[in-house]
Amino acid sequence: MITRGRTGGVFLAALFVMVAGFGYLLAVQFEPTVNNAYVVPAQNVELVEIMKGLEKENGSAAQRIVDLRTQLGELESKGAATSDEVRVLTQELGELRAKAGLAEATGPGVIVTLSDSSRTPTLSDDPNYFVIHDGYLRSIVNLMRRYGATAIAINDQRVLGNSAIICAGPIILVNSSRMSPPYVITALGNPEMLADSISQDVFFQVLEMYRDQFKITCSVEKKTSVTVPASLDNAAFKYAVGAQ
Amino acid sequence: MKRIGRSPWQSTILIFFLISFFVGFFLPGQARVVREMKQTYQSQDPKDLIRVIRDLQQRKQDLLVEETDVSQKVMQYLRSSDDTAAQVRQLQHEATVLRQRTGAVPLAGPGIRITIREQSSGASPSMLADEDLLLLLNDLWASGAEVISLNGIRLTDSSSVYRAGLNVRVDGRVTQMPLVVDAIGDTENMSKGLQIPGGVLDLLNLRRIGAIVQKVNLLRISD
Repeated sequence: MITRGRTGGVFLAALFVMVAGFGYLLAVQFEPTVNNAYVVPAQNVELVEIMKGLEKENGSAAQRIVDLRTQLGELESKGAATSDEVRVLTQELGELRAKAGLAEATGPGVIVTLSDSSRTPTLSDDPNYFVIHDGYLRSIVNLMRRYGATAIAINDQRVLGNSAIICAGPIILVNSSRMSPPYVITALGNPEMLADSISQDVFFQVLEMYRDQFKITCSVEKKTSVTVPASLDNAAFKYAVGAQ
Repeated sequence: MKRIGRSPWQSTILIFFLISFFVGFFLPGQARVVREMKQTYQSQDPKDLIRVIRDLQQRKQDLLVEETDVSQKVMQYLRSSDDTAAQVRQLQHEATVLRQRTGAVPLAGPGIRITIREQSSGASPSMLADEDLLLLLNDLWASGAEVISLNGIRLTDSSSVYRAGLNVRVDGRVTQMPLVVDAIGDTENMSKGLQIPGGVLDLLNLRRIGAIVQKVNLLRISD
């Protein structure tokens, strides 16, 4: 009886812990929903709807631009056949558009992939190490340019010299377009030179350390052929004019 | 007649198993809810969402400008299909715009000049890091800069900037501190963008790196 009594006590203690744990889980289970209902949701649901609506509109506008550019290209090709002067100018324009990032570019290069950690940080972890920050993307783009990249894109966005990479809380924006992880940074250039130089750079080695310790994704791959999309920006300046 | 019943001990064990089952049942659900909350935008700070919406609205305007421009070019081409001179004019005009964009010609316009000085004296001199410089340039682009030069070196689409010892390398060319950053563009917006509390100027200030911002009516940036 004494033994059974002690065992019973242990079981009751275990029962208490389990009940408490169950209660805690139950509370945590419903807590986000309750908070959502009172604090952010009505406002956030509306904001998310506006955000998605704008993304849809921008996606449609982007497609219209691509279609119009294709149509313009066809008209220019027809025009080039009628006059030598038009042909020479059209060819020069094609080169300038490519240089300005207004044309899709394909060639050998590298792909750097970064993504948030698959592991949930514990209470003792600093969650900053588990996510990809906008600064990481800026640094990788800068490294790619340093080692000879001729054209760069992050996911579906062409990154030009004036492309801003910013964050709004946990959301990263490139060319004012929302990016979702994984962040696939594609660069045209010498694959050997780019991959070797990037992977030997201290910044990339720090990211690899985060990968090993915090399970973020960080990789660089050489590719025989990659494609970066054209920029959809208008080339004309509003404030800067040609100086004499 | 023998009465079949449970002892208190059996009941305790039964309850224990039931609770264990429910805990096991809820645990994955809890993990899933938390993960989904993080992934959806419903749980985020409304200020962040408003920032994203403003950027998307700006993007919409930018795309509209390009769509209108290309559309007009198509119309002009269709109208001037038999007019070689008109086609030449249109092509030459676009080539001029693109030469300005690609850094082939010097440009001028209103803008801001930021002079950045490190503190070289004292026990612990301050030093501008690559990330500081990239953040400064990024904030300028984000707030309406069209053309930027560092100590007179114009940045292009392929420009990289990084520290090399005490020097700064821009496109492989070596330049020294203090760094004069000229940016042609929306002067008001660029000034505001840099001076956001917690922004890049505050960051530089905290790190004892001096940054003086001046509005300039006419800046000239060479090719």
